[in-house]
Parts: sequence; structure tokens; C-alpha cells
Amino acid sequence: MSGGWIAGVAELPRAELDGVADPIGANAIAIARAADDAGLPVSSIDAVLTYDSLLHPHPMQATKVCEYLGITPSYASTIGAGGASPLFAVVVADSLVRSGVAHTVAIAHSDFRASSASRSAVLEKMAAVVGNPEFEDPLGPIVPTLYALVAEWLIAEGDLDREDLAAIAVQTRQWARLNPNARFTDALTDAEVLQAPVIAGPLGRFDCCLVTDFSGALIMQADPDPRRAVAIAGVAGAVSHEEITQLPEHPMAPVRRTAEAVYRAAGVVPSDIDAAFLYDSFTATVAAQLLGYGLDGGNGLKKLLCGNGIGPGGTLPVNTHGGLLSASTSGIFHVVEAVRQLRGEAGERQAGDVGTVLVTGVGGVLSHNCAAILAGAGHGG
Amino acid sequence: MAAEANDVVALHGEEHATDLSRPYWEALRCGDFALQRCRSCDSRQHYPRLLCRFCGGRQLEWAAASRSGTVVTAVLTYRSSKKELRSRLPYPVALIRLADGPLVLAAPAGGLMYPGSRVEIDSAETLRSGLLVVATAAQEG
Repeated sequence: MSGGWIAGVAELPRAELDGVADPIGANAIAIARAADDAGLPVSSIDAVLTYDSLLHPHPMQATKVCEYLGITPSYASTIGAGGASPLFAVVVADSLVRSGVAHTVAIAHSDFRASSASRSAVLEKMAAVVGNPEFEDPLGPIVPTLYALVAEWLIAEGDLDREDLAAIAVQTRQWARLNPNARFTDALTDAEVLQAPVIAGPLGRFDCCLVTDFSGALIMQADPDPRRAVAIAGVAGAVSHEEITQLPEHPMAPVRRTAEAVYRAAGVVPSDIDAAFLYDSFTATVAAQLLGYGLDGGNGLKKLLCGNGIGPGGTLPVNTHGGLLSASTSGIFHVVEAVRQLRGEAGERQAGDVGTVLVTGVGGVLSHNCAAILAGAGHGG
Repeated sequence: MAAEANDVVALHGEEHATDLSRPYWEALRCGDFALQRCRSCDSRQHYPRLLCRFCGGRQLEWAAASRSGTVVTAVLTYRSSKKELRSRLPYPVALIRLADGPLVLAAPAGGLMYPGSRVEIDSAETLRSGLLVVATAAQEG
């Protein structure tokens, strides 16, 4: 196998973020720390991919980050695939490394969304770009409204119910409680989730992802020191639509397509997955992926979730850092945490011997799905 | 009837109309319903485009479309991106599969509707409220 390896990861501690407040500076320091983690000088980086800031976008953000870092790589670009961007950057980086176009790729995502002024601006900005301004926005849907429509669709078809969604929120929170960098660590019960203020349809406050500050980075390499690097065993993606009315088929179809392709690319089956890092914009997003990637083993969500199935001590650990639902608002941390688990460095959150993991990214309204299967040293490949 | 013109509110979304989409709004204002049709493959698409999303065809026209549809899914939203709609919260939003094929987002008259409910575009209510309104279809008699 001649694919990419993730050789370094970095996550800025919450306490440090207050002093930074600059997405470009944050990306730069996160990349520098990821390079430290990989045992590499930043000068060895020959490509940089970032996901732009929502509130303070820059038309050449990745280029700016290179300037800040003082490096002159061959390639730099922002990736624009909505919430799927960090994982899609991994897919692109893997391609660059496989093809020999680049040797050491830095990926970063940082943003500052949590201060009271920023938070409402974030929600307004997201509401402004959701849907179609002429034909959908007039009805006033916010992103949760659109995901609620999909969730309700799946509920009506009998694939899941509100209790399943609540279980996902609760079990994800249990992982977050073990993550010192998670935003919310208070205990959460199924009753609290079900009784929380409704946002839209079956989705309440705890079904929706957070709005936080964050900064994280990855270093992908062609031939790293294999002792701490994890291999990309396979990648896949499916672009289906952008706005919900343009769904060409059932909302689960592109998820299943991505699943089939990534398992085939990696030469694994769902039962090989030791832990899953599923993009969790909403509990419903997780539910759709647990089903779409066959992680329920065909036995349905209830059986999988019962007895804390995706939480600490469960049969299939999911989002062991607490995800977007409880930890931090970027999919880059799904990759960071996946790497920690594969290295055996997740501390209190270590879910046993983790050898093969699935990581996903989702943009739009289940519009843009991408996935990667990562394998630890001595596994897969 | 001329008197109805005084009752017509702004059709929300029409402020974003382009030359491409204007026939959709003109039809609504006349109490009709029209969708873009591809002359090559006869498909209807919405939102209108410069080419057919199904066959790539470039010969497109506007044609009268069926008002009938089916509720795919509907929810009550407790938050709205539109300040002018916040006094109505919570209000229902429905995803409707039109008989001619496209999906549209619409306001169900009379509240939340079940998936599978047969509906029709209600022109009078659409013109009165300014939003695309669907009402329960009349039962076959």
C-alpha cells in the first residue's frame, strides 16, 4: 500500500484559544505543533490545506497560513465542502501523497465562533447560506430545520426514533466527560435530552452541534516513522446535492454509496471497524451513518445503542472525544482522536486495542459524504 | 379578479428572481403553477437552470405544472431565519414531492401534515400569505 500516513496531530487547548482569536495564527501554530508531533521541521511541508473561517474568511487562507509560518510549499488551498471539509482535506492529501505530487501535507482548521458577538453572527451567517434564497429561505428554515426534515423522514420509515437520537447524545457526552478539552462535560440523561427545548421536529437542544472556538491540525506523509503514524487504508466520497430539495434520491443512498466504496477501497467490512468517528452535526447525522455504514450489523440502531453501545465500555466506541455534539465544532478532531486511539494514546478514553477505524465528514444536508478508513501500525494495509 | 390585486402581499423569494426564474413567479401571481421543462427529455426541474439537470439539454421552456403533490416529510420549526416569521413560531415546514417530479419546500395550511398526505398548491393562500402554501387535496368523490 502506497498511501498517506497521518504522522502528526495537534489540538490547541481551550484555555490557549482565548489568547489567539485569529484563525490564521491558530492554523499556523496548530500546524507547527502537529509537525513537532510528527518529528518534522515545518520547512518539510510541501502542501497546506485548510478549511476557511466561517466568520473571517480569507480568499487565500491557506496561502496566508504559509506566509505566517514562514514556509514556501508547492501547493496551498482551502477546501470548501461544508462540514466535510476537514475529512475531505484528508482525502485530497492522501491523493497528493499517493501520486507523489506532495510528500508532507499539513491540514488545519481553526475558527473563533463562541464569544457572544461571534456566536450570533455564526448562526446568522449559517442561516443566510442555508437553502436556496429564492425558493427555500423564504420559509425561514435554519440548518436544524433541514436536518429535522431528514430525521423525521427516517423516523417515519421506522429506521430510528427520538429515543435513539437521545441515546446518541447521551453516549457521546459520556466520552466528552473524559476529554479535558471538551466544551460540555456535565452528565446528561436521556430524559434531559428528550425534554430539552425543541429546535425543529425531533431535534432538541442536545441533538444539535455546538458553536465553539477550536484549532486543530494534521500532518500527512508518504513515508513516516511508522511507530506513531497511522495509515490511510482507503478513502471514498459521494456528492449528492447541496440543498435539500435537490436530493436526487433517498437521503440514505449517498451514505450507503460512500460506505460501500470506502470498505471496498480499504478491503474491510463493517465488523472490522473497532471505533468510528462519525461527523455529528446532529444526532440524526450519526444515526444515518451508523445505519448507512452498516455499523449496526443489520440489527438496527436500538440493539447497537442499548447498554451504552457507542459510549465508554460499549461494543462500538463512537466519537470518543465527544464530537461536535459535546466537544468542539470541527470534524478535524474526529481525525485527531482517531489517530490517538490507533496509537493507544487516548488515555482515559482509550477504547482497548483499536486497529481499524472509520472516520467520516458530512457537508450540507447529508449532501456531501466522505470517509476514510485508518489503520494503526501492525493492522490493515 | 381585479379586487384580489389589493390583497396580494409580496411573494417572499421573488426579490431574488432573475430573468431565468421570473416565469415561475408570474405564474404564481396569476394563480397558476409552472415549472421549467426540458424539451429533450420532458423532465421538470426546480429550481430553474440554464441546462437540464437530468439530460444536460439546453432547450428549456416553462410549462403549466400539476399542483398535486405528496408530503414526504414535515416538521414544526421552533426557530426561524426570517425575522418576519418569528411571530408565527412554531410553524410547520413541509418537503413536498410534486406530481411532476421536483421536491419543494412549502408551508402546509392548517398545521403539520403526515408523510404520504396528498396535497395541492393553494394559489389563493400563497398569494395571501406570500409563502408557497399547500393544502390537503380534496378527496376523490
